[in-house]
Amino acid sequence: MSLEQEAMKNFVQEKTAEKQILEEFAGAGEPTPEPAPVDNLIKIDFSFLMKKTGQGEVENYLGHPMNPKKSKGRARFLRGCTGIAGDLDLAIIDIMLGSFEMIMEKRAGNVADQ
Amino acid sequence: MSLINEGNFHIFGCGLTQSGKSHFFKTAMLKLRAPVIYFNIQGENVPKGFVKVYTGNIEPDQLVEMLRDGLKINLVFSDARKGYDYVAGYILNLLMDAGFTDENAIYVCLEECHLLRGYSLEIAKYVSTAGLKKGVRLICITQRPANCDKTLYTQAFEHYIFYIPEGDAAYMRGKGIDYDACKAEWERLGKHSYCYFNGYKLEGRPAI
Repeated sequence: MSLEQEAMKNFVQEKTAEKQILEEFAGAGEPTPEPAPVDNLIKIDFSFLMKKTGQGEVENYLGHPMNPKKSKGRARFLRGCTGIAGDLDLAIIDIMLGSFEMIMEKRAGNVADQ
Repeated sequence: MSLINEGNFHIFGCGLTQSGKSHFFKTAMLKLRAPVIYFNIQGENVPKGFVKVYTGNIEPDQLVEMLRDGLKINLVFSDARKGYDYVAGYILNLLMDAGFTDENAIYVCLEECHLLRGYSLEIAKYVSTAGLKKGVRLICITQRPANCDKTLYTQAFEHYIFYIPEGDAAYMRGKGIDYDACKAEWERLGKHSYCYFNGYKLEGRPAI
């Protein structure tokens, strides 16, 4: 084999060996992936805490159906609930407040019986 | 009488085209007692006394054997680009392991050394730092010292400086060579004159 051919062969061998070393080095350096966390907790979205309050003045909520006593405190409370939950027409709100009203009615009924 | 000193060190030569450097070094290499391999990258004419060898027509062992026999080789590359890309590097490596010593040394003349690149440049830099103890002495010649790798001229002990423009004088300042003093010598001694510098002495010499 001539000098040029030997030189070419040697050059290719060196480049291949260099490439292999780099690949091995790169492969050894990869970090092992962390195990996926066990997802057994309920994830709570706290973004609702940053929501704006409901529209309008507090006085607008004095006549709200859920404010029979026209309480100013309850009006403000309702305005806040509107900001978080919209027009309070969610089913969960009905369920929660309805349960509360049922308890109050039952108590009122017991008192009346007495 | 030899034109360049035959000590255990590398040599650097520079000068513009037609400054006389090629004629000087070819004549100087003929007078050396040691074997010489001249990397004739541009296919220039060389004086009688050199054996012309083509890189495509000789085997590596044959080349080393010829050099061990003390011959002066004019090595012609079939492709200049490949020549200074990886062929020169391969030959330099070969010579580093060929069994030469500082008492039985070989001279490797890299013409247009600013054209060295890639693998060949890396090996040339290695030889310039570690070649002397393996009996490999470099003679690096260039017309563009500004484009030449710094390692090649900083590792040289002797410098033969033919006319170069001031723009290329940065390498001279890096070695502590006074460009203005050199310019004065060239003007005083005329065409094809040169300056010899060995680290502490700067001397103007007339054309050969």
